Amino acid sequence: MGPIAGVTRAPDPVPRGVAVLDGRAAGPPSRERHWARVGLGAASVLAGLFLWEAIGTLGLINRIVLSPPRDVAAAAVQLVRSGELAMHVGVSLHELVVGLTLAVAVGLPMGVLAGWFRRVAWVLRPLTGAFYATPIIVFAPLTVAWLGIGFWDKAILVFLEGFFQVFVTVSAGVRALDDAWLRVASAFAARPAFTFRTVVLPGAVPYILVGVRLATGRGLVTVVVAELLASTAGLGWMVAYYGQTFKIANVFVVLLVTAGLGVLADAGIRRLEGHVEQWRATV
Amino acid sequence: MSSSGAPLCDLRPSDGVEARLDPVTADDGLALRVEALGIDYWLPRLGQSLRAVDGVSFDAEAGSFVSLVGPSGCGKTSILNAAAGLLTGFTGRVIVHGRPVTGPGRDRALVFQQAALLPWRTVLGNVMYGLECHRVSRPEARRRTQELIQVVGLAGFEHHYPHELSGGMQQRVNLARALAVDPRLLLMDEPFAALDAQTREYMQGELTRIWSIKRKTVLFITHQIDEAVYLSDRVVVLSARPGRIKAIVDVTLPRPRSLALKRTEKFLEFERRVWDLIEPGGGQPPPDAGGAVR
Amino acid sequence: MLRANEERLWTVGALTAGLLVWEGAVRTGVIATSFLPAPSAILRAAGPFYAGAEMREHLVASGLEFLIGLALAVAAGVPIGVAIGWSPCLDAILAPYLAALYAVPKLALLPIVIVWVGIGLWSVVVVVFLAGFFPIVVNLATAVRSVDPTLLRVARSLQAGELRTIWTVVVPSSVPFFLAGLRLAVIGGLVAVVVGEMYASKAGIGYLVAVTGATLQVTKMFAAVLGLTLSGLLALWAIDRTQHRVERWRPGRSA
Repeated sequence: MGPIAGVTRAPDPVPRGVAVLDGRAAGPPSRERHWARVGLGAASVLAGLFLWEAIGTLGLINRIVLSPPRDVAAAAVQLVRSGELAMHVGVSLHELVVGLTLAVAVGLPMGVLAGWFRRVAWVLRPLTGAFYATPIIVFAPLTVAWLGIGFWDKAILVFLEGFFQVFVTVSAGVRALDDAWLRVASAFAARPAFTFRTVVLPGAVPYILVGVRLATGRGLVTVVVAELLASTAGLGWMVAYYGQTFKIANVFVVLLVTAGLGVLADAGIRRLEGHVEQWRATV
Repeated sequence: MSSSGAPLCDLRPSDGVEARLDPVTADDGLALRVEALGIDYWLPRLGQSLRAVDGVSFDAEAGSFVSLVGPSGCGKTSILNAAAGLLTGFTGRVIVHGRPVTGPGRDRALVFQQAALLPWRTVLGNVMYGLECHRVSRPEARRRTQELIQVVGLAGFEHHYPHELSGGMQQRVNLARALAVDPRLLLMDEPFAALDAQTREYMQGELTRIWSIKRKTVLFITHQIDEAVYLSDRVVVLSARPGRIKAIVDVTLPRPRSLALKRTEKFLEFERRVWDLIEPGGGQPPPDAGGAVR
Repeated sequence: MLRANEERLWTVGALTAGLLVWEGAVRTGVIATSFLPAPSAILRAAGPFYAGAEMREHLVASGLEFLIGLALAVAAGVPIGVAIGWSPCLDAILAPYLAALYAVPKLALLPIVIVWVGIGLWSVVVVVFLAGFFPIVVNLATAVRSVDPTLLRVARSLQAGELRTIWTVVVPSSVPFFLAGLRLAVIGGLVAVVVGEMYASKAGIGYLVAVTGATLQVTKMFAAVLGLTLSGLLALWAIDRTQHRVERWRPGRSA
């Protein structure tokens, strides 16, 4: 009994407006609004590029210093064609990957140990507490003093930066493992190795990935800045060299590449985190 | 923190105390008149409009207490928001003291259901907030604030923060803030819904006491029939969505009303009458059920 | 309670043991002093180092660059962050630029900044500003978007204008977010000062670290780094204290 709620009635002589609450468009964000935002953003970028180009072309600011989009595009083409960009990207990535691999190789087992055995975490507290928040890049002059300018001084910095990220996230993850799961495993008299494979590992993997993601992001920044300060090759070196020789267009290209790499790595690992979530459900 | 603070006075009928009515302009004496109010909401995801309120009309005399009751979704809150001026774009009219409502105004104040207190301000700061927004002078604001804190029974708690107060006390602050701006129409949206049963009952008594001191026209929304009957001079019963008036019951119980009144036969009779209007027994639709069964 | 004491015991014990091992290794020659100086040597060098007039000049230079850059970051970041959070329109327009700049390491912008502004104090200030600007803007925008809508409705029902609403509701509600952003800005700013000076300046702690490192005055360099770490910890501690005082009204934190 009672009228059926909410169904639109047949057309009716009484005029109907639409109620608006709180003076703003009420309700959850609609499809149209989403596309409007995207459109506005795109328009803004286009307008910005146009303005940038215009200022450079009109000579309001020295063209070389300002480096409008057309120059940047031309520089990009040249750097890619000559293979120079690829070479330096390779150098930086090499430093990054080696450093990250070491970071995971050392940080992961130590993180698991620290998460599992409380005392291990306590013993390592002075180190991790002091250095977790400190950006490791400040030690660049030190590594250069120890190892000279080259490959390993950068790789070590990436290793240190990454180690702390991986260590902290993994130990937090292992510590956060639901006690209940572990009790279930022991109730079934599971061997430690089995427990490790079926409970600890799947439970910790998301945290491991987060740690790797953070380590990668910070590692990339560390590599580029360390190269900026002292190096003979790499993305940071390009920024420094072309900056000092006033080839600003090249610098912009490198910055775009760096930003792009960072975004790709971040997005890629997030994707992986998503896949792992599904895998977890099946283990 | 103890549950609701000690009562300042007994809730016995106080003989010989005249309820102080705020001076009212010489219009038709109606504080509130709702005429053929219709409210439609647009649902973008379904591409349809939803009729929440359909042709509701009722009045409230100046200084009277009117409750809106009805099932969930019947549009009670929408009607309140329309009267407050927070909701625009409705059909029909809402007239407050002779003036149609087009937006929020100084003559109306809202008491919300949830704790709508600024958590970073003390009780004093919160009560003053409305006065600040209305740009009342400092000395006047302070005078009114202090008076109202007394009236609502929070003397001594001026410098407490909201998180240090119980639910009942927070609602007192809400009420004090609304009364501070001296509105002519007080709009209350299920203010006691989030309180436990005992505190709720107690606050009903408190509200009656405070209302007898600071007499305003009140439009009150509630789900609880006994609360509506206890507090009001008039109970407006709404149907399920789309909300239409099922009936209007004038509660002729004498004032002042103590909580003990709730157990008298006359009170229960009124309560039963309202219940029957909402849930008629026997499964037969009552003759004035509004929209047809489809 | 017992667990906390045990934890402290292990941590302090490990720290002491580590320092002792370090000291011992250097004393017995296992580690060359030119490679890694002993803790005692660092502390001994730190004293006269910090007391010296030379150090004071560097401290002042770094301090100035840091504070000016940070102040600019706050002065620009707060209004822009609030504006972005409040107006979805403005947010849509500025979001692409902010996202692009966010992905670029701010310190990598140093060479460009130097070309535009020149070597010296101001280029470092600009980089400190850039490092601090983003966390503040992002956090404040999030803060504004998370304001309790009921409180906004209260303001509206009391006919509070847009400015008053922002000042009395949005801003106080955003303070915790702001402080979180400020923490990140401080950390980023400190790095920016140090690296900026290493690259582009002839004064300041960063410059000192670079010079002592390059000339293998390792002891002095460690002393400088130690000073740096301590000032960083001090700044963060100051923010935490402020957070505590300001958030007296939070549930569970009274007095």
